This record gives sequence, structure tokens and C-alpha cells, in this order.
Amino acid sequence: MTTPRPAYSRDSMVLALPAVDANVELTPEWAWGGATGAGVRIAVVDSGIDATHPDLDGCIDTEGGAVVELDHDQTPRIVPGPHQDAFGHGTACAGIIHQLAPGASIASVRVLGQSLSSTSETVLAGLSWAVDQGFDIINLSLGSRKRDWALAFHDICDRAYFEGAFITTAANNVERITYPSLFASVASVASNLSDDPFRFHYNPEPPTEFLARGIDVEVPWLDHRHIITTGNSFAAPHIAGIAALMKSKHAHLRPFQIKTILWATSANVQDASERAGRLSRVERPDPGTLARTTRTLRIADWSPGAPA
Amino acid sequence: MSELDRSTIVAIIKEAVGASGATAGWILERRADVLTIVGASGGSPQWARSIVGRSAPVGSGTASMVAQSGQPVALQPGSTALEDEIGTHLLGRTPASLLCAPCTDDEQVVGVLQLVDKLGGGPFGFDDVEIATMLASIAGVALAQEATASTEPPPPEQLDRELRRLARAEPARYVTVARVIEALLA
Repeated sequence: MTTPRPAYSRDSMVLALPAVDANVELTPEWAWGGATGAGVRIAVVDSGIDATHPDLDGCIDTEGGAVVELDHDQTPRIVPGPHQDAFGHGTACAGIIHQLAPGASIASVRVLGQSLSSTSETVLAGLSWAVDQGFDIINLSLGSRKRDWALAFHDICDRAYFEGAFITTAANNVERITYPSLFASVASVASNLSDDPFRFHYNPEPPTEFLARGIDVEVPWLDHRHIITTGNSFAAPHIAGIAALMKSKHAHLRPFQIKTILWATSANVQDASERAGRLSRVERPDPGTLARTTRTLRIADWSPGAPA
Repeated sequence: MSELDRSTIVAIIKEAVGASGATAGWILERRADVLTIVGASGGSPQWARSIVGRSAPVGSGTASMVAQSGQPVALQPGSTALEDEIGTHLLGRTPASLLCAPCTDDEQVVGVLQLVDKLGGGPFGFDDVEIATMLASIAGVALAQEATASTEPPPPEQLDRELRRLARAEPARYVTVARVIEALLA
């Protein structure tokens, strides 16, 4: 009779993978070169999306979205199906994602617009529904400051992380606590000064981990119009769009891998004088060599397969 | 709102107008589902006084969006959507640019600061967004303090809503609150 073991203790044979990407250099070309976002499903949890806006040219899955409504007793209720954008904010986020990943399918989960009250609860319900629906990427260009809801947001974001949904959120513009942008299971994004939608940066001072274009961005808005706008709300969908391209080209990627590749392909890492982000097949080192190496290892040097 | 509170709010708006290079600005206070102007600066003193007390329609426009999302937004020159903003009604013309930042207290958005028409006709920059957001936060504390000092008890619907929320989100805390209410009513 064998002794039962915890689930995390498993034979290496059970954990063996059929193939892994080895000898890979993590460059933008490897990560998303040639990708369109095709096959990737994205949820924009926001104010709704105007699916008829010409800029979105048919990328919106109107049947795949939903509105979070409040019952008479303020209980959130999911109503699947087509709906309008209340403010233009969701259409703007969808437009940015579509510009970067034109082949991706985008669905709207409308959580803003019905009422000024119970916002955190509706956002939470919408986010939870999006995770349940198995979207690959979820963009949340908003947040809650209510500590009462922090644990609930944390649980849902962790669930998304383990189920393979990559959540991008907008960081606050000042140093204030907002949920879920503080959690490690999401990618928190603020604005950089670039006007290149593909130029993003890694921030070595978390919890805001990435910086992307968010200043003077021309975006689609209500009534088939456009605005030129500034705010972290518009930086997060840039990272969502790039993540969609990655997921389209490398379907197996999980959220932590997407984050790692975002780090490796960010402008400040790619432009660093000592390049990082190279993964090579590891030759098992001599224990003595390993001990000496770990004492002097620097991130920028990390290339285990490189000649000594 | 007392005259002292209102003068504090107006002083913060005036500072925000000056720091961001705006031409005028105002703060809308959030009470339940209504956004109401509680102070303004810029333009003539008569105009600034005349718009106090006016309400913004909830459910559309940048002020409602910022009140719900908690994220500041700047709409730059060339944005045709500016025609629909409350500023158009208040100014009697379409503003060339608009910066909107949330007034937050400790945990929630209690109002919205709106600044219009960057001097020189240019766009509001990211520095303007940051300074406006910071000043809006200070205004948020003032608004929250004013609301706390108010002797008016919250309406029964609001209490009912909060209790239902507690019951769903935090059953343990709800049970405690329910027992306290029961004991008070006994």
C-alpha cells in the first residue's frame, strides 16, 4: 500500500512536458512578430463598447459580452448580450487593443454607467464573470479604493491567474491604494512618455510593473467620434494588446510567463547595454562551479548556456 | 455646506486652475446618484457663484465616468466629444480641453474636479493630470469631512443597501451589526 502524498509532490515523470522552448532569445520578434491576436479572446471590463464604431471594424463579439445590472435590492445580476457604451471609456480601451491586435476578438463586460452606487460590487461581479467565461486577457482600466473589497478582488485575481487569464489594470496616477492594481497576480500599468504603442517599459519599483503609452492617445469614443486623451486608463490596454499578440503566437503561455516575456521585451531591458532575456538549455553544472557562479550572478548576465 | 468649507473648496480649485494652467474649474460633489457643483473658480466671480448648485446628469459624461472608475482623464483639443460635456452647458460654449480628476477620501470617490481650457490652447500634460489628481484628493478629504460633520443621518435606503451589501460580502460582520441593531431596538 502506498502512502498518499500531497498533490504538490509528484513524480518527475508525471510532470514531464512534451516540449519546451529552449535556446530562445526573448525578443519582440520572437514574442509577437507576425502575430495578429487571432484566436485570442479579450474582455474589456468597463463602460461598454460601441461595437458599431468604424475603428473597431467588426472585432467586437457582441453576443459574448454582458452587462452587470443591479436588482432593486442592489444585488448584481449578469445580463449577457449586446449593450451600449455609457461613457466612451470602454470603446476607447477596445480601440487601443484592436489597433495592436487586430485579429483578437473583444467582448465588453459593462460594469459602469448604471448608477454611481455599488461600483465596487458591480466591477467585482463583472470581473468574476469574465474569469468564469475563460477569456485569455481581461483589461480593467479602473479600480476600487475600498478595503472591504480587497480580499474579494484578490481571490478573483488569483483565480484568474491560476486559470490562465492575464489581467491588465491601470495604476493610480498618484500614490494611492487601489484594488486590484496592487496585486501580484495582475499586470499594473502606468503611462510612459512614448508615442509608440509598442514601446513599453518595465518598472523596477512595483507594484506598478509596466509603463506604456498613455499620453495624448487618439482613441475612438461615443457616436463614432474620436478624442485625444491622457491617463493610465489608456496605458493598460496597450499592454493587453501586446499580451494578446503573445498569446496568439504562443497559445500555451500562462500569466507569469507573459509577465516574464513582457519584462524581457520591454524597451529598457532590450535597450540595456548588457542584454537580458536569453533562455538557453541548461547544461547541468559542476556543483563547485555553481556555488562560485551564484555568488557573482547578475540579472543582466543570466544566460546559463553561454560559454563561461 | 458651510461658508468655511466652501471657501476651502474654492481655494483648492483656484490652486488647481493655476497649477495646471487651466482657465476655469469646478468641483462636483457626489451624493448618492447625483453630482452637484459645490465650488468654482475662474471666469468672473458672478459666473463662479452662479454655477454652484447645478447638477450634472448621471450616467453620461466624463464626470460620471471618473466618479465611477476613479481614474483621471484628460480630453485634449480636437476631441469632438467635448461638445457633450457639462462644461459646454456651464460655459455656454464647447471647452477646448478638459481635465477631470477624482476627489477621493480614504476609500471612495466623493467628488470630481473638472478643469477646462488649458491656457494657450494646448493639451493638458501628464504633470497637469498628476497635480490635479493630488489637489482633487485634498478636496476629497474636505468634502468627506464636511459630509461627516453633517447632522443629517443617512437615508434609510442607503442604510438598507449597506446592510445588504455587508450580508453578502461579509456575513460575519453583518451578523454583528444585525445583533447591535436588534439590541438597540429591544
